[in-house]
Amino acid sequence: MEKRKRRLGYLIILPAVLILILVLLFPLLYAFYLSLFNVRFFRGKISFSFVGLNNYLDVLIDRTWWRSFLNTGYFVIFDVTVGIFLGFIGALILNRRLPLKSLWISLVLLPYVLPPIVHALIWKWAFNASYGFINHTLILFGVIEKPISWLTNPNWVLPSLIVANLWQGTAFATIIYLGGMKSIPDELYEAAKIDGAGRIQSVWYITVPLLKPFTQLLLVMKTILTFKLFELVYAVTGGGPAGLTRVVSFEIYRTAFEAYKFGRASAMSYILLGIVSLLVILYRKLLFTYAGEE
Amino acid sequence: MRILYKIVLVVGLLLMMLTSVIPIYWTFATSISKDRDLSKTSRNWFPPYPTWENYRNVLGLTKGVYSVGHQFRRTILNSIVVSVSVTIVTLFLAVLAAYAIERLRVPLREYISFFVVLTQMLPPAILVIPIYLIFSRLNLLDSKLSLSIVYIALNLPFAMWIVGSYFRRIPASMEEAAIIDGCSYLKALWKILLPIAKPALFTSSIFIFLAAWNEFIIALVLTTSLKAKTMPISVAEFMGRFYTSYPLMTAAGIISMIPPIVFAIAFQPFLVEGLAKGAVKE
Repeated sequence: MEKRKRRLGYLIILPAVLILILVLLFPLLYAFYLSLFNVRFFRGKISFSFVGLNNYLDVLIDRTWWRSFLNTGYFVIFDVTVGIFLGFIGALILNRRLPLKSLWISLVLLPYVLPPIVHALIWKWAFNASYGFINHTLILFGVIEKPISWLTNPNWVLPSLIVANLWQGTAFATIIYLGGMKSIPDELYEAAKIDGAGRIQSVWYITVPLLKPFTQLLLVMKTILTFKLFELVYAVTGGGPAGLTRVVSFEIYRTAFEAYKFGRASAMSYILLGIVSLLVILYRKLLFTYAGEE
Repeated sequence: MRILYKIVLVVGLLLMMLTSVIPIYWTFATSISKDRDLSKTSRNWFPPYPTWENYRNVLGLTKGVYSVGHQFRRTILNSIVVSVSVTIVTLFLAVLAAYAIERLRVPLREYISFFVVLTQMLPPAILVIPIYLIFSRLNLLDSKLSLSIVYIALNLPFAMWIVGSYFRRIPASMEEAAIIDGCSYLKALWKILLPIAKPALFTSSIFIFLAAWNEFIIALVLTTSLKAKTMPISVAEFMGRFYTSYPLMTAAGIISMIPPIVFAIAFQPFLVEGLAKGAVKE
């Protein structure tokens, strides 16, 4: 009976296991194999020549690569500071008793559920020098006098993309925090009120500490998600002007599918994977010891 | 003091909603403008002569030279086929796998978390290189089927995890009685467990569908012709290479936002719950 049960179990889990092994695990290992070769891809024919760890060494001393890392870093930093802060404020507002609350939450959710390519389209259009609403609004309120070419001006292009990315990142933080706030019992706030705490005090002494696990989670998630950023750069600036907006995912894509250096691109992927894992472990360790001290 | 607080709250809410909606609205206003009215549209925040013409053109409903329209329509169709089949197959496989783990004692539960973390962490750029080379050797490039298989693999862990953790909350006694009465395991799964687990199935199907509908980089690499190209790739083409007009570009953008927007409004609680869960998992 028990044996038959388990045999049936293995049988019905088999398709899922096969797919995960063949389509996820095997390609990942294959990418590592590729990273040790100089792979040439010409007219549908692939040729390999073994180069050992040379691809890794080449990437590690490549300035363009580290430059793209730095660029990605800017996105991460703004997303985990400004995005988390604004998301927290947004969740505080939405956590109050409001008419039409469910509709407001849906609207806040919008930026997060849109296809990333449409997100890119929206902001390409919003930052358009002559027809975008950013220039129109800023001129209307007298912040600037002449329209700015946000996406071609070297000083403005990265901040512009960071704002576009925050649009989505803040929405995500709001939703996560909102879920966290719902789990805090009202009695805590009532008790604080009786003790004479004001609204700001009760947020600072009750909400913020109790939401710490969610903040930690957002730190980790946002770092991971931001390293995936691709569409915004690919479709809005194409990495330009002068390579100023190249991010890591874009750089890997370019190396593989524009320069056809599959070995090198695979080495990049593994370096990226290593750094992201390291960051995640570091975050967890830091946050864990931090939480343990209390 | 109370009034001041109320004002701050209302202003904050208003700002938040405007930030969310204005960029989308701006895209929409452009999509119902004529090409030559663009500067008026942006000055007045609304077109002087609103028209659905761009939508007809972008969908290829007008006769004439709009071959872009024909192309866009094909890619929408591809996207629908891929997203729907990925959702159904992933859900099917996930239910079976979750049942095997939670009820038939297949000891693979820890691996699910590993795969959930892996699929969330992995930048798709990493996966797409080996898959491209493997698929090109096997002659599997540019096909809806092979694109779907990759999407299924990427969505399976999350679906298995959502469905599995729901199964675990349902007491086993629910099916045990039926099984003792001679009901087969699979029948018990189908007749007893699945009806109870509907919310989990629903949440995961929304997420799978959206993930497949929204995905860009894998489709960009794996598909080249209208046979398999999905809608996001077509939208990207409107934004650059085959640049035609802003109204057409924005109309294409608005059309491809329809499913996510409908989902966000109609199934908001499920989305919020799934997001929170997926995040907590990590």
